[in-house]
Amino acid sequence: MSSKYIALPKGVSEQAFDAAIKEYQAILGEDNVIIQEELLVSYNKIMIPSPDEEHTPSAAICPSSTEEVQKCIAVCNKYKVPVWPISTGRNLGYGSAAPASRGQVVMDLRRMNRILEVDAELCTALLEPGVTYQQLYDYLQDNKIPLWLSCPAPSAIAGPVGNAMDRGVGYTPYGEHFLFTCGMEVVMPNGEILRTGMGSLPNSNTAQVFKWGYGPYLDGIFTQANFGVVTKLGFWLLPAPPAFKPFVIRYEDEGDISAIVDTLRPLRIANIIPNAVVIVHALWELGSIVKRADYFTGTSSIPDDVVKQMTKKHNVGMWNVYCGLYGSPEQVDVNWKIVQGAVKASGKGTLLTAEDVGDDPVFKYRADLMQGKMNIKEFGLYNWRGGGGSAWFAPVSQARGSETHKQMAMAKQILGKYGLDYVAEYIVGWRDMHHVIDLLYDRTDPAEMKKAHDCYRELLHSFAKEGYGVYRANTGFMDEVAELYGPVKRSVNQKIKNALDPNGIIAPGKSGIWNRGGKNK
Amino acid sequence: MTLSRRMLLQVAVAGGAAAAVATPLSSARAALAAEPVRLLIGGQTPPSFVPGLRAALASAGLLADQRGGAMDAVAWLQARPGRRLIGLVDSADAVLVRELARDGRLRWLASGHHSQRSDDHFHAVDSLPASRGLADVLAEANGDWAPVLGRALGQIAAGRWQGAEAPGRPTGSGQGGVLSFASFVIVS
Repeated sequence: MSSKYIALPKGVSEQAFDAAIKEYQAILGEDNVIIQEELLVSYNKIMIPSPDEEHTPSAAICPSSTEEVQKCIAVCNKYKVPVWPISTGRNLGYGSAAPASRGQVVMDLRRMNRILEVDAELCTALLEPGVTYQQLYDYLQDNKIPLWLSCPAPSAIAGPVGNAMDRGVGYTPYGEHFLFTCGMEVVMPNGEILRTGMGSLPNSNTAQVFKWGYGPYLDGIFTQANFGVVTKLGFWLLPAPPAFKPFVIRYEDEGDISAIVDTLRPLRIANIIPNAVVIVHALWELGSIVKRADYFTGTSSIPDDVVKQMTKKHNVGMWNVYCGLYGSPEQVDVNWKIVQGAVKASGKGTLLTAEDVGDDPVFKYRADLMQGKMNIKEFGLYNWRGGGGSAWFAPVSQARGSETHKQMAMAKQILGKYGLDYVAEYIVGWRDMHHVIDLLYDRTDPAEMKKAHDCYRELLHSFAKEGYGVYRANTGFMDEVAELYGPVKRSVNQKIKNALDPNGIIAPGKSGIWNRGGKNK
Repeated sequence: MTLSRRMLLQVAVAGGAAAAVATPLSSARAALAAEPVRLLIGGQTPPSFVPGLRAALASAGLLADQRGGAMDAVAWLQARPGRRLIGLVDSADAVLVRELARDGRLRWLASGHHSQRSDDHFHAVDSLPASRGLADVLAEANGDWAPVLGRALGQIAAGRWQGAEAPGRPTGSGQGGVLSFASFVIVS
């Protein structure tokens, strides 16, 4: 190896990087500046079908406070060293901790893991980026605070700040996570600290209760973006409801998907069902508990008739709809009658409660998620095909039944071309619907990794032609996705980047946003 | 980092090259022997993986008890410097280990993914200083690659890995079906 580093930031000489590393060490201490290859393994790219070397970090730095972040950002500006901030770095299926491009320094904020405030009356929290869902859950339990958080799956080791900043979703009525944030502290690229909303007003105590403040609402531009480093984020938490009734509706036929959406959308929009309606395909339902090889060893997509056999054997639906009712017992009773009536009128589906399914572990898993109880069971999906490859493709559509048939047909045709399986779920958020497909593949096989890469690309472009854009993208495809959203949006993003971060030091390439000349540097 | 850990890592990282330096190597081996090694395997880990590993570790004190799963194993590793965790696990546990081991202190001596399909096998091994040559050795293995991997990971964990020397070709046919694993050697 010609350099003592496993990679260097683009356009930065080894000599300049030596100097930057020394300054980081002076700020953070040697133990919190990581340059050794053996220690950086956990920051390397995993899962996504993109060449490892394109995402190799040059180093990782681990500040423990906002002040240390500010000092590190000053060093970055001095030496033009780009940093890739992560909170817990567990954005699995979208790129994990690895940077979008080779040589960036990972700014790992895991040491900033303080729960700064939880207000049980106003149902708010103020968190640092390194706080994990499990940590917040334990805090609420230990202190007997009757509030629920909302988490994605699997999430015990992931964190609320990173997930909300990437506009992730969860399964409680507060499941649109960014919607339920309130007030940010951001270290700007010039080192200044911005507090958004009411947080900018000295002596205000309303930063976590009123989102908008005065003038333009800025919080959104820091999500899925690279205009600053968010070092604190306020959240609204759900008061624990007196009654909670989870249920599942099982449907036998894949073609039922259209009726499912049209039956449940009105209940969701009217908040009869206040949380996201999660419509889980059989392969997602079973994929985390069984292995593909036990049912099918061919190289094509798993045939529909085999999937059907699996549903019979394991007593699950081809589609399995999970949602819950929340409120007082009286409210839940009334809403349950409305749900029962809607399902009966549709003439499809078997409606089951917790009492009906007994100790079904899959139902319990989903019921827990809908109460903000996190776990790691969905990691089992990585065993479905094996080999550690995963990329989430998640196009957004209107919540209409007619959209589902079209999307499912397109997805299955393209996946079939590459021999990958339709491991999918639809999530009816409110008026929108996410169609989340987990491209699971064996990354030990270069041919299969190429297939997964090409499949993702074809899905991306084919869906975009029909007007379906993804709501998140892995770090290997951020430029392509940004291109699909059009030149004006991309240009505006770049103008903001140039204005706020002229040196392009914060997460260059995040969401396809580069400062002027940054991409080709 | 303590002096003994630094010496240990020097040997482990440099592999065969460091073996020529007699005093640090023996000291490092002594340090290695002082701390236990834990094995993390899954229900479908090929049984032939373990004997080769045990033989390569020899007196290094392999722990037999694997109860507690991936999270417990990483917590054990993080609890005390000098401990070693060797694993051959499924993809789900591999992700957990990888993510939990991101603490700035745990050193990866080896890391790879392995798939068995019918009588063929595939390996994607990270290029790390302490395990250079592992991919070549696995590529040359005949059907039963698991004992080759076990022996190699044992040697890597014990600081005795000679990357340039293949540990020999075992014989045996593949296991059929599709099986997938991830392997690692991590030192605290």
